Order: sequence, then C-alpha cells, then structure tokens
Amino acid sequence: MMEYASLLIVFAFAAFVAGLLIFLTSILGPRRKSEVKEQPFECGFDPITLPRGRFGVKFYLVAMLFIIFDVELVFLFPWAVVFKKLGAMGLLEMIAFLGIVVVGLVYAWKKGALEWE
Amino acid sequence: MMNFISLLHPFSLEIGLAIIILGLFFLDLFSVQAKKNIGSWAWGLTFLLLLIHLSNWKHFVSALSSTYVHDALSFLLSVFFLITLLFILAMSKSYRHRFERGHSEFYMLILLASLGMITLASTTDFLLLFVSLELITVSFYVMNTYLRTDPKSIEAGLKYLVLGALSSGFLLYGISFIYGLSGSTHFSDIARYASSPEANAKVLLFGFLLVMVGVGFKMGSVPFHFWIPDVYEGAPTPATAFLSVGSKAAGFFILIRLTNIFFPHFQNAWVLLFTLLSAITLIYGNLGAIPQKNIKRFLGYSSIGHAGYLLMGFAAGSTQGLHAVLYYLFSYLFTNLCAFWVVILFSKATESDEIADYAGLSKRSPFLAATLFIALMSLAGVPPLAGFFGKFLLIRAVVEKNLIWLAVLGALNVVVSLYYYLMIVKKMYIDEPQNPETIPLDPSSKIGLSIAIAGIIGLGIFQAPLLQWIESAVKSIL
Repeated sequence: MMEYASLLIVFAFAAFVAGLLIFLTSILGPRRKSEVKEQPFECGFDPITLPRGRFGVKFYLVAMLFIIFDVELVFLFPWAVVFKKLGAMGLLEMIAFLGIVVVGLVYAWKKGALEWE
Repeated sequence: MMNFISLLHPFSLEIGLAIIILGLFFLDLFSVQAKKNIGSWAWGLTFLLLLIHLSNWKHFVSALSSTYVHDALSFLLSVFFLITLLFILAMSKSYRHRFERGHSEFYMLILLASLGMITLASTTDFLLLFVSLELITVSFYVMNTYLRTDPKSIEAGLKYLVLGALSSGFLLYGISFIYGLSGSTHFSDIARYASSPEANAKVLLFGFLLVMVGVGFKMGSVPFHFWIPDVYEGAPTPATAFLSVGSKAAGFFILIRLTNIFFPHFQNAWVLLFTLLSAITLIYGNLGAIPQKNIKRFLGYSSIGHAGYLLMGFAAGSTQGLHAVLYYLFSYLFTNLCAFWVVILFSKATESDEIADYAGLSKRSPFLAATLFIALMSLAGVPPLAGFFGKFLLIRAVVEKNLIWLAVLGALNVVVSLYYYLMIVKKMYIDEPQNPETIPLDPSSKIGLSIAIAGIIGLGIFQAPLLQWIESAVKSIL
C-alpha cells in the first residue's frame, strides 16, 4: 500500500496547483463580458450549425490512407527499439511488412486516390 | 537467414496465397492485357498452389509456440477450401458482366477470404482464430455489397455488416470469459484447465455459449439465421455461393476443433444444446424453403436446413459424428457449388433468379437442367449421390448415441426437402417454357459443371478413399 503514497502526493499536489490557478484567475482576472465570450466553446467550429453537416467524401480516402501509415508507424517504433537484438531476421520481417504496405500505397496511387480533383 | 526460412516454412501455403494476391494486384495495375484475364491468372496460380500443397502431404509441423498447427486435419481442411476457391473463381468469370467496375478486385476479395479460411484451418488459438474469422467476414462485407447500384445488394451488405459485427462481439466476449478462467487463449491450455479439478464448469459453459453465437452466425443455424435469406438473395451470386460453402464450412471447422476441448467436460449440456439447435434448424430451414419464389433465397433456406443436418453430427459428439460432418461438408461443397453455378449461368442468359422462369429449362438447355437436377437430388439425399451418403453417416452417428427422435426428424426432413426440390425439377421438366430460346453455354463452364457432377456421383459411389482420409485426419486431433 505504502508504495502508492508517492502517487497520492503527486495527485494532491496536482490538484492543489490546478485549484490554486483557478482560484487566482477568478480573483485577479479582469471581467469584461462580450457576446463571443459567452458562447459555448468548441475549437474552431461554429457553435450553432445544422445537424447534418456535409463534407467532401475525399476526406475519407485521405483518412483511410492516413490510418494505414499511422498503424505502420505503431509497428515501426517498437521494432526500432529492439532492432539490434532482432538482427537480420528482424530487418527481413520488417521489409516484408513494409513491402505489403507499399503495395497498398502503389495501388491507391495508381487508382488515383491521391488526386484531389 | 536459414532461421528466417525455417520460421516461414510452416506458412508456405498461406504465404503462397498472399504472394498470389499481391502479385495479382501489381499485374492488375501495370498490365492492361493481364487485367482482362485476371480471373484466369488467379485460377491458374491457385491451381498450381493446390498441386504444390498436395505434394507437401505428410509434412506436418507446428509454429508460433504451437498456436499454428499443420496436422492431418488442417491439411484436409485447406484442401477443402482450395477446391472451393477454384470453383468460386471459375464461376465468377460467368458473373463479371454484372459488375460495373472493380472486376479484378472481386477476385482479390475472394482470394483474401480464402486466405482467412486457410489460416483458420490450422489455428489452435482463439486470437488467431478471431483474426482469421475477421479476414473472412470483412472480405464478405465488401463482396456482398459489390452490386453498388442494386438496393438489394446494399441491403445484403448492411445486414451482413451489422449482424456480423454483433456476432463478432459475442465471440470476443466469449473468448474473454474463457481466457479469464483459464488464463490462456490456446486450445490445449484451455482443455487442460477444463479437465483440472478447480475448473469452473458453469462459467466455462457460459463462455462457450457466447462463442457459439459467433460460430452459429457463420454456420447459419437457427436462431442466428436471420441474415441468410436476404443476404443470399442480394449478394452477387458467386459471393452467395462462397458464403454458403466456404463461410459455413469455416464455422463447422471451428466447432470440430472446439469439440475436443469442451465436449468431454459438459456432455449433457452439449448434447442438449446441439440436439435442440439441430432440430429447430432442420425444421425451420426445410419448412422455410417451401414457399420461396427466388432461387437464391430458396437455396439460402435449404442451406439453413443443411446446417441442421450438420449439427446432428455434433449432437452425437462422437468421432463418428465428426467423420460424418466432414464427409457431409465435402459432398455439400460439390453439390451446392454445382447448383449455384447453374444459377449463375441461368441468370447470365435470362437476367432472372426467379424460380418461375426455370419453367421448361430442360427444353432450353438440357445440360443445365440435368446438372441442376442431379445437384438438387444430391442436396435432398437421394442415393447413389454424395448427399445421400453424408446424411446416412450423420443419421447413423445420431442413432448410435440413442438420439432416435433426432434421427427420425432428420429422415422426415429428407422427405420434406424432396418435396420442394422436386417442385423445381417439375418446373424444369414438365412445365412449358415461356421463352423457348436456347441458353448458350461456354465450354469452360461445361467442363466445370461436369467436374462438379463427377464429384457428386464419385463421392456417392466411392466413399472409402475420402472416408479413410477423414478418419486419419480426425484421429490426428484426438
């Protein structure tokens, strides 16, 4: 149980700092109300829009390609950490994996998935 | 380097298939000439792979700390899937005119699904099993929706997607229960846990039931059958044929591997579960098929009925039961694919899947009518065709376990199924055609259909070779 005491202290300290900052801003901060400031905040979007927004189906294609290469990176990082231990076999395995991913990229490229218009 | 090759060796079949898929991708992208014949390329390369695989016979190994096993059973199953694959690739050729675009991708999807099936044949671990099942299911999501402008195809894809995802969820939930109890996803570890004194049989049974939901969806047994009629009707016919043989068989093959783990530990619950499932599925499938007007829907209901027969083998729970299931699946492979091929060729000429349009088929194309006649009779189980011997083995296995009423029910359902299969035969042979035009047939389809017919009659008359092979395969997992 005692080994978690330090965690509790960190937690208490974080809560204290956060609470202190909120407290200080509420005392020291100037209050000038305006219409924009009263609106609910959502980063970058209009707060009130129609429920059915439309956006280009092309984004989905980009998103799909992005996911593939993102996941590829997820495999690459741990592989890089133990690269020396894996030796030549690890290199060959990763080449095989990257080869398959590259086939996907070439396919998407050839089929025109990377053209915006 | 040697290490690398010896590591890959157990996967030679899977890697071979993966290389074929990737190679065809490139061929399709860079060669206009090959793009036209991509189906023939796929077929030829797969056939070559089957030959190489057959020559590797008796080369049994295991890999990945024995979560991946090549034993006699997985060899048998992979041959099953490769034969199915060859038939499906061949019949897709007669269907490709229906696709507006993405002709070659359809072949890739078929190959990808079979890659999943072949890995499934060798896996003895729940996680690998789940991955290979998903590979199959995801390929089918796309294949079922392939007729993009046809609302029925979209409906089929959507239904399959929603219910498939739900059943995958159940399967995973069941796996997590079993893992939570036994601390392993490996089949032999789970079997060891189940036979140990501290095993919690009730929770294990609960986990198994959840796994059965996922497997039951694949097999198409009642009460997990709701998707079958709509998906079978809406999906492109080669995809339907593949669903009805490959995907269904995949479900039963999983169950064969699971039988050894779970059957000895809760025999009573197992027998009760599978007799009930089998009885309900038999009755539902066979009665549901009677009023159907669309041949694909009709074959869908009949495939539910066949799932009922196959479940009889698991109700028996004996080695004989497993032999019967495997034999039945092989006979079902030739019979059902033969029927679906006729459906594809018929719809190519007439653009119709309605049973009413089959009137007078014997005058329009005697060959197609005779082929469909033999296939339907084998589905019904008329001697000396393959379907008869499969049903005989199943009913014998059930009788040996003293489940007489289930055997009687199975026999009664043969009579019911004869009625609705013969209704189609009557349409083809006695009724007059509305449109007397003859239906043209290309020679390759004729050869393919003849091979399927040879399989149906051959398995019906010479049962011994396949049965011996099956017996040695089942022995390898006991």
